[in-house]
Amino acid sequence: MIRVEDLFIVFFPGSALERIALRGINFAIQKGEVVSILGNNGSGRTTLLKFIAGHIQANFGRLWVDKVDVTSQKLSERSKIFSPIFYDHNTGTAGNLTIAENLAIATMHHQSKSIIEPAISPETREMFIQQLHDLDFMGMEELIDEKVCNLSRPYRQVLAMLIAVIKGVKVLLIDEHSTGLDKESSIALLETTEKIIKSQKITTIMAINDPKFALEVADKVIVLSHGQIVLDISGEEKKNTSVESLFTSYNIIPPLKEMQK
Amino acid sequence: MLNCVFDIFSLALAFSLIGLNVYLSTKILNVVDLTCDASVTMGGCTYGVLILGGVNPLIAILCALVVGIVAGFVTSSLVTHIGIEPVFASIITLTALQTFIIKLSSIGKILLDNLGESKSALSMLSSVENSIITIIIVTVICLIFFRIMNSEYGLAMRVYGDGKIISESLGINSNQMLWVGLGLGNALSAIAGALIVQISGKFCATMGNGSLVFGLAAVIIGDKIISPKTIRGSILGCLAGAFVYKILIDTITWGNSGVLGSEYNSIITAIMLIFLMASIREKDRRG
Repeated sequence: MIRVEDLFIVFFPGSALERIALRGINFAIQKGEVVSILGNNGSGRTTLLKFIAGHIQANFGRLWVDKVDVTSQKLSERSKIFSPIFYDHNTGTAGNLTIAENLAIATMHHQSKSIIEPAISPETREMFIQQLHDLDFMGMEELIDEKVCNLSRPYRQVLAMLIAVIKGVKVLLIDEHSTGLDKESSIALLETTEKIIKSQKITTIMAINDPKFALEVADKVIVLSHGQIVLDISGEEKKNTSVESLFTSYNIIPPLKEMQK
Repeated sequence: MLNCVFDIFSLALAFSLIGLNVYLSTKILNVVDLTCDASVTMGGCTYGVLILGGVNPLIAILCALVVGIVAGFVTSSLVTHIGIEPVFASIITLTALQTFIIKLSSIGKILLDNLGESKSALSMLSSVENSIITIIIVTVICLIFFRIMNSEYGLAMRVYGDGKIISESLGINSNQMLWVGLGLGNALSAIAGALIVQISGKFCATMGNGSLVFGLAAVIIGDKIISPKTIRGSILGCLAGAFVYKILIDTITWGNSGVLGSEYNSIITAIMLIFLMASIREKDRRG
């Protein structure tokens, strides 16, 4: 359903700083599949996800969604297919708006209202509270009228995912959204992430630094190294692979908290 | 004397519309739009010329509105289609519009010469009547503005202020939002210009100069008095700020016979803005 074809991305081409971030990436993902991309820092995971999200352009290569070439689509068009949940939470939520207003922007995709109609009616507000309540994420429904820039990162990441679900995008793109959080919120965020992915059966491409989560939740694992795919496994093959063996055979440095164990 | 008070009252109301424009561009869209000065003058001159030409005031004010929208569209098209920074785009529009402004005001002069009497031709209404008209128009505009800001367009415009990537990621056509925002803002300024001409009974090519600073002062003073959390608060803040500022300036430079002459307007404005900005920064630093 999603196919990346011969993708090359070069930063600062032709200059002394030239760096090839991705060199010939090819892979395909079926509908509803959860894909985990593993790799060290600098292996090109973020670049790959940013390309799919439409934040950066490719030097060569195509991106196909349902047999449609979306490579040169505008960001606002592509955002109907992909939703970015990135480390930089400013790409998924609007800080100037409250939670309710962010959700109202998301519902805009289904029913456009006129220019003088209030964006948030009492009914939609109730609906938003119910949706937040169902997510059951650290009492988020009580913060519905809080400006998003005043919220801590886990809330913003969960909000970004909820926006994606409401928008009805085809693919979630998750990049290190739990990195840098304390243990409790990190666990809570990953649990909610799993809940959303599983309950919505939404196709997901994720680069998450929690190796266990990355392997357990995913149907397919791709290992990137120096801008190339060195491993692409799914199904039975994936089941028989352990986290440790993956890490040692591909020289992936586990995140700090794993090393301390 | 009483007429003068009414005039100041209605002028302050008219100026609060410029405050709304500045609020829309700087606080919501997060762009600096200098087109404002030209839209005020264009709106005012268009209105004035049409009235002198015997056109119905309601149609004249609608024409002023259209002129404002067009001015805003010119700036936004320079930004979205050629990729010029909003500040420079608005300076270009400002410069281009100057030609039309001078043309309009010279047409106005010819019309005035033909008519003979200056004041009576332009505003046949008394100060009180003008005040009532201004109150009605400004109230209606504020209500419409409030509705628009609370609609999805309003939300989308606020997302535009957060940056292009986030607004496009949320599926908002950011170019469209800039067009809507600048068009609406400059329409407000143009109506303000038309109202100013209606109230003061005169217009010239320089009538709008400094209105951006006035709007800015209104927004900042409003922020200071009300410290608004909601759109409604911000609109009231613009109104209150415009009033405080207008009354302050007019008492200091009362008809050239006050403490200081009217040429001191600019320096007083500048000093006041410095103090206001300093006090806001002080508050931010304390948290």
